[in-house]
Amino acid sequence: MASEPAPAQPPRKISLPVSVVTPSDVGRLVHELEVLENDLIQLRMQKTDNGQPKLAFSKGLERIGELNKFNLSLEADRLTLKDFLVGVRQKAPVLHISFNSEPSPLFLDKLMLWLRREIHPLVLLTIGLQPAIGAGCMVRTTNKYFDLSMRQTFIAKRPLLLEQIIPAANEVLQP
Amino acid sequence: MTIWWLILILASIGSIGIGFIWLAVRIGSASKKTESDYSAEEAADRDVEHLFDATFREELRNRGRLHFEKIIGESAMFLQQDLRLTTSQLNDYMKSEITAKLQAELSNYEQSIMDAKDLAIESIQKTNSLIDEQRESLTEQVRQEIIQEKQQLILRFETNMADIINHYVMAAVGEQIDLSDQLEYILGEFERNKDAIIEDLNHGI
Repeated sequence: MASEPAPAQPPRKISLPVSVVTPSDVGRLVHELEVLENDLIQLRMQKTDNGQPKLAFSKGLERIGELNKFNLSLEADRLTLKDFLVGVRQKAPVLHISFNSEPSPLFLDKLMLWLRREIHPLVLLTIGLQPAIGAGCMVRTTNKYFDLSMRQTFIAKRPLLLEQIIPAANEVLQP
Repeated sequence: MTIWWLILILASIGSIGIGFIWLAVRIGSASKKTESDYSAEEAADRDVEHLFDATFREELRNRGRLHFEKIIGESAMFLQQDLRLTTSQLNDYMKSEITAKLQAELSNYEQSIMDAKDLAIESIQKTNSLIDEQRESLTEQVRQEIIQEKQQLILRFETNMADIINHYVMAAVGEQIDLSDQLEYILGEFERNKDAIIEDLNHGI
């Protein structure tokens, strides 16, 4: 008597921690999982009586496991996570953002939190440096370029600037 | 005129001299007559000749000589006076002529100098007026170029005002504003462009 097949579980909603910012971060996690699988296979081949080997994970992998309630000791969870990360690496939207200086991790955490909440839950970033930007940033998406620098704000407020500058200039030029 | 006077005086002196020579020859030829040449009348004349003997003739000759010398002396004196007068007149004439000539030449020279001076002044005035015109033209040109340059600078400033102010702000307070301080501004800008970003990402995906 064949057993009744288990009902198909809805796909787990997996999210990325804010510490995973760039495609490289995702790639590192995928690589770590692959290395981990290889190590486990080798350990199984050299199976001893010591029982289940103790696995060591990086902080990033631990964080994504905790966030999504994965037991990384289980192969199924590791495979699910790996498939998810490979999918993210291949399909997640990537924003290229340029700042005038290197952003701090805290800043990136806050930014990623907002981006994943407002733009896309799996969005990734590549960070660039453009010292000429000044304040703000430049954002390049797949097809567009967004100037979110203060320069653009000044351009938008040009009439106000002229209104303030012209009387000051006249005062200087005609003492 | 003085030269003609001199020539006239010399001619009169010459004619007087010739007259005296002619008189002496006549007197000499009269004494050479021989006794055969005279007739009875000649005998009467011999008495006369006795009166006009050699002594008397010599006396007459001496008197004539003295008279001739006197006339010669007077003539020489007159000639000398005339010569002095003529010389002085000639000097005066030469002085006046030379003075007149010199004055004429000097006046011509002065006139030439004045003409040259006028010409030089006219040339200088033309040059000055030309320089003034060129200066005014150059001044106007420079003024126009300055105005044009000023307008270009203002236009360039207005065109690049955002960059200039941004650069100035960053130079002034850039080091005091780090990215953490800019987070609110950046998130605000993201919020403003959120729809466009999402739309483009969805198209890309």
